Amino acid sequence: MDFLSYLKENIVVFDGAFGTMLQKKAKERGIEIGTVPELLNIQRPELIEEIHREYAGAGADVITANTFGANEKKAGGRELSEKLVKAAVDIARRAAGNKFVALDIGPVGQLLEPMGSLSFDDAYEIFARQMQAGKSADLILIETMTDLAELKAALLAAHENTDLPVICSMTFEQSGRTFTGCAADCFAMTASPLADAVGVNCSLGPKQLLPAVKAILENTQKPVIVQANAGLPDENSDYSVSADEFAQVYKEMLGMGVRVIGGCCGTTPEYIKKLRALADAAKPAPSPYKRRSAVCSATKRVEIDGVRVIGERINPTGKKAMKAALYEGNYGYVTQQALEQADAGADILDVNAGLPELDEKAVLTKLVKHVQAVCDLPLQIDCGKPDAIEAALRAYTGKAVVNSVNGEDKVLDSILPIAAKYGAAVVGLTMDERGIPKTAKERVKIAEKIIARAKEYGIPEEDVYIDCLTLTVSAEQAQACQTLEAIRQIKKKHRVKTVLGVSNISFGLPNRQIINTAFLTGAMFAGLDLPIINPNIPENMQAVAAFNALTGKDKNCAAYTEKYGAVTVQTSVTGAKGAPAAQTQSGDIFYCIAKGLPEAADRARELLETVSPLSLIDDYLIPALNAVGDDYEKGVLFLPQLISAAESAKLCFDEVKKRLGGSSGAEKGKIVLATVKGDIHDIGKNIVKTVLENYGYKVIDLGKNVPPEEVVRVCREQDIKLCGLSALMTTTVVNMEETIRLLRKECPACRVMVGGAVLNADYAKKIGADWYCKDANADVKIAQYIFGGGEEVPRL
Amino acid sequence: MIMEIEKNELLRYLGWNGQEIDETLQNKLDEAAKRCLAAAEPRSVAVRLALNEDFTLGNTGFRLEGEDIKKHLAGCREVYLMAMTIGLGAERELMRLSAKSANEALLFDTAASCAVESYADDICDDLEKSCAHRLTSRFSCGYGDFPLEAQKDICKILKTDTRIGLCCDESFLLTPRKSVTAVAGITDEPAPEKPQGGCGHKCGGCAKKDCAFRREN
Repeated sequence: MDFLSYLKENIVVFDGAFGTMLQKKAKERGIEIGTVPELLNIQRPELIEEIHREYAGAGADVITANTFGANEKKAGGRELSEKLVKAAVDIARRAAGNKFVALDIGPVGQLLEPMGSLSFDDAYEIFARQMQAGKSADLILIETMTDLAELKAALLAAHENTDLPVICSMTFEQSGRTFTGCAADCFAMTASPLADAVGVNCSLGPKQLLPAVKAILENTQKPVIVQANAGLPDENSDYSVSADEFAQVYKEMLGMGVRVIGGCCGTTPEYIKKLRALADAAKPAPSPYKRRSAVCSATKRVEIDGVRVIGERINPTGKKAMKAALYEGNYGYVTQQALEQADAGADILDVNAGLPELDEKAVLTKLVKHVQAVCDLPLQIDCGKPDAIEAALRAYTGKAVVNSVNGEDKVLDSILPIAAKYGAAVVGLTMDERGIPKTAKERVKIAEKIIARAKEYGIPEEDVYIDCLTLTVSAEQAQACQTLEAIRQIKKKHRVKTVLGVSNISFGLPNRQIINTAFLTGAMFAGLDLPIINPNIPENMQAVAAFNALTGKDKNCAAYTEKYGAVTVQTSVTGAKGAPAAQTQSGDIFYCIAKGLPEAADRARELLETVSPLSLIDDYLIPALNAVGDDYEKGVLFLPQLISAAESAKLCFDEVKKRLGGSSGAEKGKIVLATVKGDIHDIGKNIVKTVLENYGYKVIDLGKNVPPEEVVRVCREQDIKLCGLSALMTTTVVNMEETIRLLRKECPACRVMVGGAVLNADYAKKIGADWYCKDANADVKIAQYIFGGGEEVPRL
Repeated sequence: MIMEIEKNELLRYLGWNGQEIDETLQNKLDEAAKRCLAAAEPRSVAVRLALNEDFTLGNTGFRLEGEDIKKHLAGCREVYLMAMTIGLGAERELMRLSAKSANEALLFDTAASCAVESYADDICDDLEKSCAHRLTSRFSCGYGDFPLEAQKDICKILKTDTRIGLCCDESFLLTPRKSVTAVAGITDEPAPEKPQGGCGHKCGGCAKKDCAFRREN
């Protein structure tokens, strides 16, 4: 019988701890374990086999090969890794007899991007090679994971490189989260589509794991595995939970619906014997899982059990600044938009990179990576190209929404399988190759086609969100009511959710927000669950809050009262003009900038009544910043004060930009900044960025851990004259040197300034830089020299 | 475990040199410290190992390289090998703030550096108490000629990735960033009445004279 058939019918018993058993035996026999315990697979195979035999004898159905840390990074080489894995599976097979053998996959041991420097693709390849080497096992067990992105890389590697069943488990702390903050419910939702069983292992004793186990059971339809520790180790590495206590809690878990049981650190064959007895006495209990409409990031689950707002701002269509940001690769702007929308109350963020001349696949993937690095809201992948959708779903750590498919067969059949593979929810537009139908009835018909086709691909109704499409009321007046009627009918007949882009309704009309608010309110009463709107517009969020109060979703109107109880409500129709600028007695613009006060912006607005935008920059802002810079150099000010000043100057520049209508007249030159490959310490680079920007320079921030080729590509494509690089330690200065070498070759006109903890002028010269910057102020001097307005700064 | 962010340390890390601190800045400093303590999830792991004559540790096969660490541990027959981190929650918060405001990010980053140092001091105090012997100050990879590369082996021996969520990358840098690995020697002397503070706050003996964080004895 194969493993999956066995799992279907039975409670499956895994073996217990390997590491702690090995340590004990090694100690008794005076064997050195070293930093790679898997070396014993070759050096002392009899010892490994002995442990396996003890577990097989205790009644385990599955014997886990000693390959947990045998990946090439931990073992220290590909060949060795392969050898250790093959040896381990052979030993396990010898000991297992007619039982199943699991290939054990642990974490790579390095943190993935964005918090670490290992890329998702590299992690995938590492796992794929380890799995290839161990493919003669009967199943794959991915365990002790703490990073959902790393787990996803391993799951995809298993799926795409082997035919073996895959079980995966993560390690949760008492808080119900992993070290990286991943929540148990988010893990279950994200991993289930790619795994045959999901669950928890290690870290805690079985009792402490109960809340995480419950959260997982409620969020997966796959069998759930639990491999707890025998409690927490004390000083002498002894574990506190006895085999009887252990089995007692497992009995409860089997009643809750757990289907696969085993032990982790501190457990022994004695524990497994007890679990065997439990399994033999019990029948598989039903799972408490109920299908619900929900999406998640790694850290946050959002259930669609009421109106949930999808923020529409990360979309270049009709948005000049976003367009420019995407063309230039300025993801700082994108992440700011994400955080603003989150602060304004969005529940889900739409990401869209649909611009001609843009590599949509590459840019969409980058959008996903950058936004999820700073914001915990689930994402909606807004794209129609299957390859770009798949790339974005791979990069996304969570359960996303795919926006969208429509009633066309070729669209359905190309995108639905991708959504199904990654377990994403999918937006279905009620249109097809013939266009948008005029009647509600016809739109419902298309919706039903989409629902049925989704089901064929394994996507349940709860994961289909129907968009009944907004048409412009000034052009097709009858259509507004047809849209609302279609929403009503679909919600009545199906368990799907509905989604709608709202603001199109008012195109071509004056004071559009009046129409938008009314339509949004009407749509919510018709059954709209997911309005796609700009959450930064107060009326939009007001309408949602009012709807929740009126329909009783907001119990006792508590949320409404809390939000609007003590504020003067803003509206965008009356506009900002009516609002008086905050008056302070804090002095002129020089004073405000020097002190880092936000009132600097008010002063700038006032000045702009009488002076030109460019004069404001040259005669006020730059001199003010120069004075601050001089004070910093003299030690009158220290770093936080310098940056505060720069940040308040930025508010003034924003006023200037508003006045210039987004044209780049205010910009003094373009500078590329990057923290070099292998290095994630970017705080210094970020400070330099802020200071340079506030002198009016356009900064293209490539981020951290940036490959030399990427720096060179951007410098070449955008004809950059000045590039700043940062590195923290000698180990990453190597990559700085490589980046400079490539820049010299490919962009001879580009000058390079460098900074970082271990650098000094001599070291900077040695690696070929033009300038060493001891602080952010030094960068400004160099920029002023290069782009005009400053004295010569001698090169190294 | 009381982890603190001491105001003077925070200012020292920020390069403060007696400049006037107005209320706005003071509030920002307080806010950063508060935020950091709220986001921090301090975790540590330490093992007591024999210091063999060839400067390998216990039965790990791992050898301490460099003259400075040997000098530092002179006379010790055992050491504590330790690692600590304030966790990925603080790392995430730092990334979020970096996208928002450079100043908030700087202040948080600095507060987090103070927090992990303070936490490491606390751990050393606890270890000293539990072994009842005076510990040498803690010595980390990258101090003097103790190579940064040793960080990887320390992480492996302590299994820091699965035990406290701490990894060492290809450049031998720690992730999360606000983390410490170190060795402290167990001396023959009894533990002092009053804890000395894990790194002793003395680094005047170090050869790296241009270090921004240097403190003369």
